[in-house]
Amino acid sequence: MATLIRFSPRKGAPADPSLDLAIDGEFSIGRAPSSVVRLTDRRVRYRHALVWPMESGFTVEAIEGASLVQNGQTVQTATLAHAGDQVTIGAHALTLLAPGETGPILLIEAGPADGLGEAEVYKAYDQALSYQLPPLRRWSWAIALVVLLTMLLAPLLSPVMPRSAEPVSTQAASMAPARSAPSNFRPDRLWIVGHMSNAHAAFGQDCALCHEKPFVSVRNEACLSCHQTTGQHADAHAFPAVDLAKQSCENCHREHKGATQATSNAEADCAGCHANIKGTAQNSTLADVRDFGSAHPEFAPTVISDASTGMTKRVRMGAGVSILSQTNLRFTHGKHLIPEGIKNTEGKTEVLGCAECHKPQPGGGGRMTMPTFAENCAGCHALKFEPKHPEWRLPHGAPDELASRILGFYSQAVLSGESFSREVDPLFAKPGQEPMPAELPAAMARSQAAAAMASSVAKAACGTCHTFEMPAPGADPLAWKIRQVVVNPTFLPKARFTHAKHDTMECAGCHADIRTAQLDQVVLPGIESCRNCHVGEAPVTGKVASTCVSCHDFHQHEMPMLPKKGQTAANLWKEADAQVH
Amino acid sequence: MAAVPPPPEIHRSVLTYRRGLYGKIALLLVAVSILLYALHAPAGGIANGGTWVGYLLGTIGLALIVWLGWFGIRRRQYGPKMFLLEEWLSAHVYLGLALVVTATLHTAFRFGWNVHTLAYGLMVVVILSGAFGLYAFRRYPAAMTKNRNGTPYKSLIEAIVALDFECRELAMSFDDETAALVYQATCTLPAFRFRDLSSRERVSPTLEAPARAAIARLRALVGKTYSADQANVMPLVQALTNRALAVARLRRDQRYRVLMQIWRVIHLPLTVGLLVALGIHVLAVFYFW
Repeated sequence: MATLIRFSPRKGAPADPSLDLAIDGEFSIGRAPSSVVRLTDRRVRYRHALVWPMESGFTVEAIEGASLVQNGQTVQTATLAHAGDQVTIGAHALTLLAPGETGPILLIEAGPADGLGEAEVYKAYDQALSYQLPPLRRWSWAIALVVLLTMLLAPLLSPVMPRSAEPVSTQAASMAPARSAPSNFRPDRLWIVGHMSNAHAAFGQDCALCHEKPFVSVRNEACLSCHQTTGQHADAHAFPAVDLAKQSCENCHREHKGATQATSNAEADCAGCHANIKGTAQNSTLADVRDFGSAHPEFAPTVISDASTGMTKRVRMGAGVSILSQTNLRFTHGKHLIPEGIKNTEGKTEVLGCAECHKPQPGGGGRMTMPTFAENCAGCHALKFEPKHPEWRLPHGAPDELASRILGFYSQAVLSGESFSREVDPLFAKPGQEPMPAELPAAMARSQAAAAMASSVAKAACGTCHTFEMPAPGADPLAWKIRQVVVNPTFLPKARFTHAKHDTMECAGCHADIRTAQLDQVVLPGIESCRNCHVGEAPVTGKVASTCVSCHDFHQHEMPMLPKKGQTAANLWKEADAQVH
Repeated sequence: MAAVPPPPEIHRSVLTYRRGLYGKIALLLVAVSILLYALHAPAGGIANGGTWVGYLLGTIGLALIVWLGWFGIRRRQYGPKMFLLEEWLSAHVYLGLALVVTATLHTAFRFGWNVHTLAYGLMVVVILSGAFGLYAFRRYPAAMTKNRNGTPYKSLIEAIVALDFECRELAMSFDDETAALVYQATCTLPAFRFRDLSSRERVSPTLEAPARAAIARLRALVGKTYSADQANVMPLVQALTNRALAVARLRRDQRYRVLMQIWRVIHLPLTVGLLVALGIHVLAVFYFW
């Protein structure tokens, strides 16, 4: 007796006779190639079940791990005893049919296909591979909106932005504090093109202080409201081409360029006019200059040409030209700078050098101090004038009091009984003349004082150093006049030379030997002396590159751009002219 | 025999259009910009966008950006025009690259946390993304053809599906665990993610985890199973490997296609942002005139 197994491709479909299988005895069902009945379906296990034929049917037993389904229940063993009995392995239905000629017949119907078909898988793949770019239009709008809000709206709403129609430079003059409390983040900073210079950073939080109106460039008035004394470059009446009031401060002074203000200081900026100054200012008396190292005239110090009036003039230095500046002094360096030294009032020997009398200005100033009598002269020059009274001293620095003080000394002495009169011997009277009468005390004091003036002022005490004027004939014999000492504070007023920056140099490194100088001669170093170290703007190895503004000021403060209160521009120039001369 | 005229070129690179005429114009612009910047001595020695050279470079830059942005409108216009779109693109590419130099010199290398530097930064990113687009369009089409080996995209997917079913069928001869692994490894494709664009897979195709596990198991089976099964091991390993290679090829293909588009995500919206920031930059400068 053999079991006939028939296969149907799907439920309800007729069995395919070509697949009929006749089996004797028990048989195995599974996916394994070695299975007697092989079902290639994932839902069927490799070795799924064993089948025993029975009298009128089969017993199906699941192999360990596998299971069967009969009548909707999961079972391990199923019996197919009557025709129509069914058990399910995976998706395959095993049905017992009515017995045939040779024995029982088992119909195996394949279940619905496992998983997706090829077309569905293709569709799923197509979907998995699809992607969508972000919505570009929406992103564009979003970015535009964010930029507009943060970069346009926020700064515009900042309270420090200029928007008023009224200039606020009047407030600037009083250095009004920023109108908004400074905070770490202020949206107006999003518009700032660069850091403020250190000098302006203090009030730099208030944009409107300088930028008074939107879309209007910074006006000079905003700058001048603080910088009131800023001067013209030259007399704007004589040289209207350089009237700075018609220029913008900003042309040379650029703000928002970092810690240091960007100020125009290129040689070319100056040389533009000064290389050929007559081209710009026909009536200029200045010499052409282009570069300190190669094209700069020899210095022309300003000297006092007439000490009595204080009149000055400029004298161009050069070979064989003595630069003399009147001082009303008769002082000579040659007599003091003696290598062996000179004796002071106490009899000690002092050797004088430059530094004994000339000291740098205190506080690092650029000029040297003027020697003073008290500090530098009195040690040797005692200003005695009366041999009988070596304790009497002339007052220094008070020429107007001189006569009254001397008269005072003598009057006091005469009043206390001292006699300065010569013994009058009638024998020495000239024949025909009355013998000189003995002087009255007042007259005696006066004549002594006059005599002392004549000797000390003219010769010993004052006259050693000072020039003077004698009393006119017939005038008061006491009316001697010590001339006012006049010394130029600087001989190069147009330059900004500073000794402080040159204190590593010896005096003689620049100044010629002053011992051989004549009276009133100014021993000023010439330009060649400077050029030992300094060159023009173009750098040279081992030299100091120096532009025009290294020594010269562009703005001439004696010619302010702004008239003061109650002052008109016209009288401003007159005043300025007066100051220059 | 008369010389045969060369066939008309079907494709001209934007870089060689008119023998690189716009490249030469761009080089000239770069040279002029550098020369102006180098020779100009600004007041105080501090170069900036507010000198006459600065304004000149800035005006050129502004005009260029507006014109470059106009390309987005021109490329949507059809019909006869004086200049072919090809010509526009050639000029767009070259002058866009030259803009980096002109605009950088306009900034005079002065940057800060402000709208001015924002505009500059946006411009640089836009140009960089555009440069990547140029690179992608010059390199990837050829790379894609080589990668697909002439197979159309659709056939590439069909081949994978066929391999899936082949693997599954072959897996039927193997034990339950192996079959389950092969089933896991087939008929499935992880969805595309943008972050995969930068994954290592683009360098060497790697098997996805289930396929790797299946192959490892199959290798372990060699010599342990019945001789009847042995014969099936190699075909299944081969089929799984072929599938992995086909998937890698498909992914590479997709990566190229995405990269040829993805730069536009940066290029276009940031161009709009740049135009807005540029407008504010100009406004702010003249507001504080």
